[in-house]
Amino acid sequence: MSKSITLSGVLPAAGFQRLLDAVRDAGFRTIGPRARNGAIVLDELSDVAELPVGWNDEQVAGSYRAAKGSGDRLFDYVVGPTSWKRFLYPPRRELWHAQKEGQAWVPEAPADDFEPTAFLGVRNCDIAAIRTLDRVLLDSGYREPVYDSRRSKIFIIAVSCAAPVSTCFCTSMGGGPTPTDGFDLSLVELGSGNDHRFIISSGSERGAEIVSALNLDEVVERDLDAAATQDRTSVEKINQVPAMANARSTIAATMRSDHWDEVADRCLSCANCTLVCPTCFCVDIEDTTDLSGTSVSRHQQWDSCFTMSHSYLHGGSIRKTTAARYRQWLSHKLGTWHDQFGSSGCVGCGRCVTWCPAAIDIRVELEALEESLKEMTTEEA
Amino acid sequence: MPLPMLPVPMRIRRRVKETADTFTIELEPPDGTFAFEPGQFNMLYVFGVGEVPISISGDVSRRDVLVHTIRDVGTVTHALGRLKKGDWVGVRGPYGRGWPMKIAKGRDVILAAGGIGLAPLRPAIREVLDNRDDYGRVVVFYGARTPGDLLYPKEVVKWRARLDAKVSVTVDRADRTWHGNVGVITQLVSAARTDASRTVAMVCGPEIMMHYMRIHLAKLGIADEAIYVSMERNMKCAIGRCGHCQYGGDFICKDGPVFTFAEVESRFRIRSL
Repeated sequence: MSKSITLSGVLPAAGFQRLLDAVRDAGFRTIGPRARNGAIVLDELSDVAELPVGWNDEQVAGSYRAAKGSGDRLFDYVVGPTSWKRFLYPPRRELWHAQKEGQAWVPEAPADDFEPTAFLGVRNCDIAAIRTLDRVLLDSGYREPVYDSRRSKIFIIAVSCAAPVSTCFCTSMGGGPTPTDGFDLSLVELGSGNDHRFIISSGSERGAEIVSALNLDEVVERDLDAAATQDRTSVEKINQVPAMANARSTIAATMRSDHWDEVADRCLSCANCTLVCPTCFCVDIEDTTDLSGTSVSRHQQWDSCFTMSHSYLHGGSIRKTTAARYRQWLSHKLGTWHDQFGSSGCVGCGRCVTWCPAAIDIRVELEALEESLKEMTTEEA
Repeated sequence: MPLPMLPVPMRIRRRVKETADTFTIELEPPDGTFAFEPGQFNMLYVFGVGEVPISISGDVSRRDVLVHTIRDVGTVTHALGRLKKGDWVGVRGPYGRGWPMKIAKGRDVILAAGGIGLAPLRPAIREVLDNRDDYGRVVVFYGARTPGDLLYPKEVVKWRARLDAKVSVTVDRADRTWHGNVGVITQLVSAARTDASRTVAMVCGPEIMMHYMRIHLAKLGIADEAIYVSMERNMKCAIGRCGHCQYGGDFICKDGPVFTFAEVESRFRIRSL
């Protein structure tokens, strides 16, 4: 995707369906936000009415509430429990299968039938998450074939965040409410009612091509002012986590801290944080055989460092305690990820905070580690 | 599209029982050639059971046969132990960074193995003994629990008979047939008599054994940068993306399994890492 961003024009909200149709006509199915079972999840849609029109969400540590309000805006909520990882690196997928003939067998890999897909309503934190997964699965020595192929088939329609929640902290991870690159198209939703409209920017040639047929209105100063105000208001609402700046060194220095045991008293080791995380990439691999034992199918599925089996080594698990497993998750995400892939593994989306049933907040734990480091340093001095 | 998770089926051409719980299988690479470096490993797959990382124990100069010595410690290794000559095993590899054979050239070399740790170290020992003139003083230390647990006993006897290498074997618990050393492997170290400033040590065994070996090697004056250890963690993919073998910032499958002690020193004794 090209890094040059072009301001394409303004689309009245009443014409949003035209955008969806243009994307479909360009050969993409669309996956975007849908309200389901009281949450905003990601799934296929083709009609603007299928979007969570008027929905809002409230998120704090350990709590998520989404509900339809009286408004007509399309994107006034943030990220839900699903992330785009679900589609690019699915929770379960067959690696290969084989049939025994005599004693011999030959493995065969299934073809991947992922269609060209537009991701609609991608938030800036999730663009950062996709970029983070790119570094893990494409740019660190070898290219993961299925992720690679799917990645080349997606069309990203980003949207600026106008309603951040208390669990958001993208601005502490180098992000912000408004996407600046990594998309084909980017939307800023402005106003409501008769004044409801979208500023559309294109970040790629194919993005520009798709919007060129939409007969967009010209962007005027009033639109740009409103977008700037909305962005500023969002930035002010997003929590700042100063401790993130030193996360890597704080963690490296606190691997033996008592604080890990303290977290373990609250942590249920349930793995929710790792499963909602848009960048966690651990996968387990398992075999399924038929009853005769002649046909086998080998799958990979998402795994979590919170399971005992994750660190199993002949005779037992290396990380037997919740303290050791929580330490692995946090120290990897915020610390050793830098050693491995040259960036933090965290994008500040806040999913792990919201979906933790024990309301454990990665930001608060990092701050506590920073405190424990200060105490350790004082004791030494 | 390259498919790194797809194994190559290979036929077992020979199976040898080594000890009560350890066996060796020799596999036939389909095109008759399999190149690897000492210290590297393969992922071995048993049909319908699963896949495990197993170090390669054969000779680097023998490309027509792939040798793996395996201890029966879990479901997959148990299933591997039940396979017979003519059966098929899926192979992916070789993977990982092996022993520092190039760095060791021209230097004194200490090779120390504890238990099954001899299996990953054997290609390095053979490489050194087969090209003896390329190295300075050569010392091999090998410790096992009991005389019955010694791997490759006939071969070890041949190594011991050599006049151009010091080869010491010890067991934790002797029986009445045993005439050699009794006690932990570290007690052999002081007799190494290598030139510490030009010695490369390669150590493979349980973490606790490597920890104490390093202390004793350091007493001889050998730097952490010249002490190499082979680490072990759970592995599912061997290509750095399943996440299981993480050891701090390293993936043991691709950044290791062999590391200098200097590289792992800061995390070596962190519990449950």
